[in-house]
Amino acid sequence: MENKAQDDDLVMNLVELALNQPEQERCAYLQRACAGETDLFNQAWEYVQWEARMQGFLLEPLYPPPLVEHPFELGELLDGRFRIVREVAQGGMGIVFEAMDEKLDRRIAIKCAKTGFRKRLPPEVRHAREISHPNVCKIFEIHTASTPQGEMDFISMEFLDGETLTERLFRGPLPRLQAQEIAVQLCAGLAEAHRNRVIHGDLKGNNVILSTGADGAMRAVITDFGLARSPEAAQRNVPSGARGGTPDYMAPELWRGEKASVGSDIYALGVILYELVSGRKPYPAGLASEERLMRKPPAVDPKWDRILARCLDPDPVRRFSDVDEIVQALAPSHTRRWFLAATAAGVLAVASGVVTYQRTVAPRETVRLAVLPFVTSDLLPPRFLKHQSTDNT
Amino acid sequence: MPESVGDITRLLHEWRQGNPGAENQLFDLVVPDLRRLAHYLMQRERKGHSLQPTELVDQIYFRLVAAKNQDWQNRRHFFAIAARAMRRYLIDHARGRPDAEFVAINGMENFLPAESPKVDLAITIDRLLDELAKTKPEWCDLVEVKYFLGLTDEEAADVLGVKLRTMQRTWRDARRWLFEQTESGYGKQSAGR
Repeated sequence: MENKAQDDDLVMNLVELALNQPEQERCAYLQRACAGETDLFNQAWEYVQWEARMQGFLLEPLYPPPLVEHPFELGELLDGRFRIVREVAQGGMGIVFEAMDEKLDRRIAIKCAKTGFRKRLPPEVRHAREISHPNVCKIFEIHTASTPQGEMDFISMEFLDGETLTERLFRGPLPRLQAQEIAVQLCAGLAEAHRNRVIHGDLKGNNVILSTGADGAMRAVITDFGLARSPEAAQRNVPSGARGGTPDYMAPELWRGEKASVGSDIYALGVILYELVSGRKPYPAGLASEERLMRKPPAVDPKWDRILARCLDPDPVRRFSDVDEIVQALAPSHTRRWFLAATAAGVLAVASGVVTYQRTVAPRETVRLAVLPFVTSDLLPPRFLKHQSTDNT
Repeated sequence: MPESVGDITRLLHEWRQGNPGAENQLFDLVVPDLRRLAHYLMQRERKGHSLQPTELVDQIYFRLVAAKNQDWQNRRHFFAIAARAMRRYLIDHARGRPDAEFVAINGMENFLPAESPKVDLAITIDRLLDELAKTKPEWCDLVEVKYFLGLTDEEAADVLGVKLRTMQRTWRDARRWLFEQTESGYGKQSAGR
């Protein structure tokens, strides 16, 4: 019985993924994904062929149920305090609204499931609420609204002004310095979540928002923690092949139907880091999992390649065992530069003292010569650059 | 006509054990509420909120069956009988001879216009399901909750008590079987559209 369920999982996953491909590529795609497992291929391929032939046969119920995408209306007051202002974004399963918390007089975001999806939030969200970190979107509370459709859970959370990482990358690659900064922030946020035993499960460019912190500095924020555990939520009247998750960020073991884990989060983080550094995804869209096992992603940057390779290792055991390890791996250059930066600052302080003291005798060039070797790196933290430039003038 | 809660739960069990008399008695109980269900399903234009079939069937079930008897298994049986009743109700309409029990619903003819391909298909599926019920009753149940009651994959898996992927696989198998049986007729209708 358990075997049958596993088999169904595997075959249906493959069928869905194959149906997401353009029709002429499905066969080759499945062949690659099945990696020589003829029986598996035959089973999945037969479903895929029949699906194409049936052209949605019986998928539309005889008596179509109402299609209402919006569970809440604009201007509606939820729970006696949250006034829906506008719709901000729609994902596959959820909708995000901007709302005013009239009790606390602050702008918030509200997220709920689309009609036709689960009205109850997965229990993981409760754990996600515990995470308090500048690089994780803060969940304030989980609420339940009474609607004519019955009780419906929704989340009130921090409102983030900004764009998603995917949107940002669509406009072109990031400056290296900014990419580095985002990487560090994402690692910090994910590490904190994992310390709280919360797995993201659907980490991707669209779940990272580039916003601005209170200090005006760029702030990368991971959203949707704990919400991923309902990836199978069904969509009404949509052929199941049209759903299928976010394959580009899926670790190979997830393709096999295994559960999301720290390891699969690290894989997804690796895809994001790769995008940050190179401006593109490590594998072309739609490349089968089997091919991902065989091929290494193209090298992008000597400073990053080892780190990326260990995030994207097909074998979860060989990946970094936790995000802190990535932080450490990032650290040699990072820390070293901090160290150098600190040293440089020290030199500057001393030198400026010397300059002040011997202003008339010491030529300014001496100071510059002492500092210059430390400030050429494009990886130097911006705070230092600011510090350095003000000190240097 | 049974009136007590005990009767409904007993009838649900008898029906699942294959007692055909139980089905008719259950229909007598369920049908008046299904009219409401169908009515709701018709009102697609209402703004903002709409009840989904699964919630309506739940409501009907909770109203008919007292809390102490609301066990999980019975709820599943109840969904199956509701889907079966819905099928009978829609097919009766499709055949243009609605049961006297039903009050005509405004707009039904727009949904199931007489002699439309949709109606022809529904009647064919209904007939094929009678065959399927003998050999693969679980396929028949699934087609009823998906096609006649309009549940999502997730809801269907839930009310039938199977895993989602298993349900999806069975659904593809059942659709394929029905498609193969109707292919020529279905194809003609498609070509005529």
